[in-house]
Amino acid sequence: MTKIDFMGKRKYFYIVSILVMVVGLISYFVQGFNYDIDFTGGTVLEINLHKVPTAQEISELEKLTKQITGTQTPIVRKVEDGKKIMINAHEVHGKNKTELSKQTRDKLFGEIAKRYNLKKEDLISYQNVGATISSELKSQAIWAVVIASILMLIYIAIRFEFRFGTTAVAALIHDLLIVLTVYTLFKIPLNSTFIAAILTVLGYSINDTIVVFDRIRENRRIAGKMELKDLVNLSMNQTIGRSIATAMSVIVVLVVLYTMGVQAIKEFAFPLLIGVISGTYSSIFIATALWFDWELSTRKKKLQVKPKRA
Amino acid sequence: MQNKSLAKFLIGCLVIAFAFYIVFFGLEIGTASIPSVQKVIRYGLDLKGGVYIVYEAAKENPTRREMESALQLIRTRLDMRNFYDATATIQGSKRIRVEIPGVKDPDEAIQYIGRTALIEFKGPSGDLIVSGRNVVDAYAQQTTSGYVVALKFDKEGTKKFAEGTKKYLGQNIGIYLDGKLISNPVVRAEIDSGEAVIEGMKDLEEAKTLAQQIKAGALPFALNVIESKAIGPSLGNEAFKSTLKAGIIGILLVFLFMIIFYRLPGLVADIALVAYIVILVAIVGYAKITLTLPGIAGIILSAGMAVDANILIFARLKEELRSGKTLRAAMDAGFRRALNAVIDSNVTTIIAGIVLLFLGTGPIKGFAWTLTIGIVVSFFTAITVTRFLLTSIINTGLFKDIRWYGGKKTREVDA
Repeated sequence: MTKIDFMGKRKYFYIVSILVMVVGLISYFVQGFNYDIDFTGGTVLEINLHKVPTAQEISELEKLTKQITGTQTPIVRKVEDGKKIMINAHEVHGKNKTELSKQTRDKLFGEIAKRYNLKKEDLISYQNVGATISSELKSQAIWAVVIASILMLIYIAIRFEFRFGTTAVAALIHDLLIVLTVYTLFKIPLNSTFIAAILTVLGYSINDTIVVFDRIRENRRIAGKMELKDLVNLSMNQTIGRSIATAMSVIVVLVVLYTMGVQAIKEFAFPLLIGVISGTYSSIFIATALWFDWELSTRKKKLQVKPKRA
Repeated sequence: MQNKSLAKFLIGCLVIAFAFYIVFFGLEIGTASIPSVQKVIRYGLDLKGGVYIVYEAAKENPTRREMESALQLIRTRLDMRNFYDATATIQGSKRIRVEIPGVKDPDEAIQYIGRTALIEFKGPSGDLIVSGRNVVDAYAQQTTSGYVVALKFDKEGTKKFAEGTKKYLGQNIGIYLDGKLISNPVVRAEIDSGEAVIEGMKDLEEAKTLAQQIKAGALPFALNVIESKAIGPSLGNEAFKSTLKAGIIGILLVFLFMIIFYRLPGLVADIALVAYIVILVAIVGYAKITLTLPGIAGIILSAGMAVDANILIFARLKEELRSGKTLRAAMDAGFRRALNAVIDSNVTTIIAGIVLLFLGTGPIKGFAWTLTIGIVVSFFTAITVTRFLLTSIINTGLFKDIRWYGGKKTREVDA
């Protein structure tokens, strides 16, 4: 069996996590999130250009979109094999900043079709989302995360104890922040699959944390007067093999999905991949370490209290 | 005992193989037949292309009954246009989602389905006399004064219309369509027959269209389009093929991974995983759960989670063997001691899945369904199928060397 002193090195892992989150925070203030139309309302057009556009062409396409739709910052990006593009825009001339009218849409595609000599079917898909549905989606996303976390916390508090539940949820929030960092850093569009991705990460991360906690719970019952640090380290060493094996089998599937999938799947697989790695990492280094520090601090208090009584 | 165990193991494998064959290729015996899952599976629009439109009731807090009659109406309209593949479902409290496979242009589809026109008769001061909800019939007619739309009111409507025409005799009664004034005739006599006509139609076609719209709009509210999307069929097809391919490759890699790390138990886990896939695909297919792109991702992901249950058990098994237990005792202990972790970790993931089911819409729901069902099925196969097969194969006594179970050095262990 491996004999790694996980708890002895926990300070380093706290620092690593905090550093990543600081990067995320900076990125958030510098470039924010790339809200997809699911969140902002508007129109997305997916067009097959049959050639990879240059950076120059992309910026020309953005200029064209701005001109026709009035969108202040239209987003044009390459997707899949790079020969297809997605354009995010909204109607500014209307009363609300919402989806493009058929007229505007036809005009925009017509102009692009002229430049690149495209046929009608090269407009692969388009989506219109109204402003009300998108604001609902935002609150829906937040509620989903909050409700899922609370329910999980309650379940763990019942099956284990409150302290395990709290630190497990703290690790969840950690993973959530890491995934959000990835979203802002790589400008992955936040859309409805983002909610699915976030919740999957939560599900996976808690799954992983519980396996480690389960071992601590079990060892605590049978280990007798073992030092807390040794007990936690033993539990970690016992479960690390399984943690890596499970993470590997999920990662393998996600990597294959990412490399072979279409755009929608790619945008889904990448944050999940990060989430699974972060989830594995946090269940070992964050959740357990936090629990350990908490447990240790109360034990020290108890020790300090006892002499006074005596 | 040993031969019996071998037979048990082989029969178990055969049952799984047979179930696999039925689900993926179908079965026909005489006149009875089970269709293959490919034939019955319901693909989401993102996999086969088409159009979806989300309508919202232009009214605060419509009742469930009102929503259902609106839904019925849309279904009738879809059937009228021969969109038999289309589905219409109520979403939340005031939305209806319509999916039409094979159609390319949402605007065209919105035209097809037709706007549901809300007709209202209002007095000179704008007070409502009677609305479309009291209209029982509307039809186009040709009269001496040209083309008209004739309306028939129900009992309540007849009474209201009679009162209104009596009150506003000699004045104008406005006829509004979706809030827009379309005609403003002067009332020449009190009308208690329960019939009214809208004059001034250009031709028979226009009169017919309006009559149809009013009939369709015999609703207490209008429906607004708030979201629409068109997905090209080529995209759907491509997406499905590449995702399926990625899924198969991913799962094969996991199979290989399990055998390399856990040897004989790994192989058993792989067989149990096949059972898991068969059961999951059968549920999704025969229970008509719409399979979407994220749904496939959910299946693949829950397959990953299914592996975890097996890994937990086998990691324990390895440990127990190392501590010197017999195979049988190690296996029992492995299953027993892994159970807590398997239950707790699965329940928490299911909690996330169920929250997603209730709060998610459209494709997210597809993901939540497959993930939730997947975890339940994986829990079942891990503690029953894996256990049955592993017990049988251990009892054959053919695999006594600890290396079959992932041990590093050759050592015999007792069954």
